[in-house]
Amino acid sequence: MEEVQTAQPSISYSPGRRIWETFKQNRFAYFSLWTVGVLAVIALLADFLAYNKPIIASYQSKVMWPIFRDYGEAMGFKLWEPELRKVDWRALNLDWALWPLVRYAPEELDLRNAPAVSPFGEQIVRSSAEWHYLGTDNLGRDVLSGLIHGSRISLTVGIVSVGIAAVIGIFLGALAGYFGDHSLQVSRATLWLGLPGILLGLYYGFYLRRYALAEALGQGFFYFLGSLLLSLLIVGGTAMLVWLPSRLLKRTAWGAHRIHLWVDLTISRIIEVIISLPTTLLIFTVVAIAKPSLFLVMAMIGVTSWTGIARFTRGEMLKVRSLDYIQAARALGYSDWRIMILHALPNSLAPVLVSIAFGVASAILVESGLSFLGIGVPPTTVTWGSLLSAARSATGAWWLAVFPGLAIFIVVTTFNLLGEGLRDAIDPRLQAR
Amino acid sequence: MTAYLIRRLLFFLPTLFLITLLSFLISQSAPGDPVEQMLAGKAAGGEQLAEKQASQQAYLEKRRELGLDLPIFYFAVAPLAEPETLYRIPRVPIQDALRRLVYKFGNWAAIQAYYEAFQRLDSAFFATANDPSWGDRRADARALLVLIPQEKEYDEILYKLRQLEGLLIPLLKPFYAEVLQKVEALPAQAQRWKIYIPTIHWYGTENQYHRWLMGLLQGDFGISYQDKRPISQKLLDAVRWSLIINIISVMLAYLISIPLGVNAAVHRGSLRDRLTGMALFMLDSLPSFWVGTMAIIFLCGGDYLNLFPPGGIQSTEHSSEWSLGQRLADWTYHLILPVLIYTYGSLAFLSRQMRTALLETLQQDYVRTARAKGLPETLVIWKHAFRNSLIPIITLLASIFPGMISGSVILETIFSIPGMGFLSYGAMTARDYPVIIAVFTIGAVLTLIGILVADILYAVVDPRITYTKR
Repeated sequence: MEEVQTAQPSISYSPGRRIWETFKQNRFAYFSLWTVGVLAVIALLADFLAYNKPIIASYQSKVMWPIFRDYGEAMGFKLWEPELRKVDWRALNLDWALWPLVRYAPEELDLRNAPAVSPFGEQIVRSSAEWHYLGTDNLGRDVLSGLIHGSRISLTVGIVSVGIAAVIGIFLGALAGYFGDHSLQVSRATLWLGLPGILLGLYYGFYLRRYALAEALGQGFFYFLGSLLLSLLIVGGTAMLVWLPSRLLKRTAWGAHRIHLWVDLTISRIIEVIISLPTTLLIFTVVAIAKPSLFLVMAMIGVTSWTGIARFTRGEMLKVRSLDYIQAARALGYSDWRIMILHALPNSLAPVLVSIAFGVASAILVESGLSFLGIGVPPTTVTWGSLLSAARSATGAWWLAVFPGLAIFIVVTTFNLLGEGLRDAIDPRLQAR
Repeated sequence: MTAYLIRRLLFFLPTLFLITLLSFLISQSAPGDPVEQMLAGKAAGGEQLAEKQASQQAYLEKRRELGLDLPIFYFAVAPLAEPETLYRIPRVPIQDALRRLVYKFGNWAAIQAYYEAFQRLDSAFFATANDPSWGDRRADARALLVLIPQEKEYDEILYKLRQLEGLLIPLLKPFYAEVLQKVEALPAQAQRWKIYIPTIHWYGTENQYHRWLMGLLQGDFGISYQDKRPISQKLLDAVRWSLIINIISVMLAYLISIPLGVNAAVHRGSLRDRLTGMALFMLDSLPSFWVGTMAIIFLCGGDYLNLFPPGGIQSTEHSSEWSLGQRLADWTYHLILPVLIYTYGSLAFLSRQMRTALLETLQQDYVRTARAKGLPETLVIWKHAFRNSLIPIITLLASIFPGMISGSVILETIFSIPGMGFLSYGAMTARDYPVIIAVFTIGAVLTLIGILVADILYAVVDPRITYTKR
């Protein structure tokens, strides 16, 4: 990519500032950051860009905010008069109205313009404002509206799944890098009581609750999160209870003996095993067998893609932990966990950003591949992948092949560019070239 | 090096074992009852008691034949309340529902009493098939009798039982009363403490996983739900095409990307380097399923250009009587486009890696030495730097291979190539779980083998690798 010969910024900059200055000089990367911003705005404001109701309208001399009313209805309030509840707003005789850019909702079937009407072909619409700017798919759904709303799903998948991966990867990577194989010691008493405690906790928290957890997964993201937290609390609580007597046991010579935990070795082996799995095929398989659910897709991507982040964090931690300021913190008597989380981790996170940017790109790619095949995402949800797959059944519908694919391409390229830019900015070894 | 290889093999085997565990775990979470899937509705039974018994008999026989009457794994962790032999209860949904009741009330004796009373009611129901006093209520009652034992929520069981009461003929009332009494007694008889004591049951090698694993080792993947053919037979046909396409594209990708990467590295910073870099970067981000779809629409007949066939691996008139040359030409004509699209993704990735690797080697001291002693630049690059920069590229084989296998699910579907991915996609849409699992297992094993081969090559290319330190 673009080789940026940087005039080394002056020394007074902090490392973060220096990375940012170098990053800004890479035009492509800087541009891609802006693109991400624009995409985020589109995703957030999707309802105001494409919807089948006006933003604000006057009907029979009454001024209304139809989109906001729909929000209220979604929250459980009854806001619509019965005669307006199921009406087609485009057909109403409005006094005046401010419409979204596209006057169709993404899942809405426009049966007069089905199957698959070209943007330049003949369309049956009341006025040119209702034109399907990018055509319709085989069911008569507006492509542009689908693209605008699909950006929500793509970005959500990218952010949530990489978020999951980042939490797991940073935690395990930091543990492995900071403690290595010799620094984390526990007393024999803690080990012999804590381990059964955790096992018992897993039995109560996860094994006995497996039906409840599976049901929560089907109900949605927040139900599952709540249920998962409860499970974790049960595990933690049980482990604590079982571990408590170890304080007494520690006073005996047998119990006080300290044992090294092979943190690094264990975590590195786990990473190696996960790397040798065909993760995409694993995701396809699990998602094809389970009930379609967007959250399951994100969780699967997250759970299988944390290894890169963990390796980066581990490597950085290895470097950071031998630096002087960490030694100083140790000399001050801070606990290992405090040093690791408050002092070492913040300085190890920059390279993880690179991994995160590339991770978002590949997560979006996996999700669009899944919805292209029609597995994993519920069939009524319009995504870029599902729009693209409509091109296979509607022969000759070039607009169905071109636009959704272009959207996926642009987003993937953007995040890849971002990753490249960050890598060049962060890795001084590459800068030297 | 032998020590290194042994180490790698020692890692290979446990990972393989883990993969089989994972596959089996996923297959266990597939919804529905595999025996019923296999019998395809024949296990439902008719109206008469004799028919009902015959279908139950057929079910039990098929279950025994498939080994599904065995415990699932070598051991099981279960609450004290759960009987060791719960797995023997036929019909997966019923077994699940009873287990849920155990998890709620903890008193197996009471739950068993309910289930047995229910079975008596069920048999009595089928014995009255010809009773004229049923009228048109019989169908409704029957539907409820199917649903009740599968019901997981206690309140729902009670609710459905009350619904049933109004439908039953007087002859069945005593049986019904017994069931209702047993169900209503459940909360009072609950022994919840038994749920909170974990126990471990040991079952030995007579279990489903062991049988499945042993079958797997002999190449037996079970039977497809769709056409009742052995999966191994279906896979054998499919694996051939996937392997042919994957191997050709990997080789092509290496053949093209190595000179491309070397060229870019040698002319580092030049316009040529920047342009190839840009092009490769774009290629890397182009989703192959998009390119594939576009190619099908614009290049393969349809309304636009007609350069390539619209998928498949051979033309309809293809026959084994053709000469070898003709047949090869036909296959090539069909496979050019898919192979190209398979190739470009890894091509971009490989070239970029090749460029980085060579750049790194060119900075080494021995390269400077070679240049200093006046060797011509081509010799420096090809003899001294290139060989050493190949090492990381070879290991990349390991990371390309898994991607190609899963990538083939989408691409084979687009181009209708009857390979493993296409097979898997067909199975996904038809909910043919054993096939999906088999493809995953094979894919994972192939990936592992790919990694092992790359590791071995790595050690062969670079004699310094012994992995004794670390």
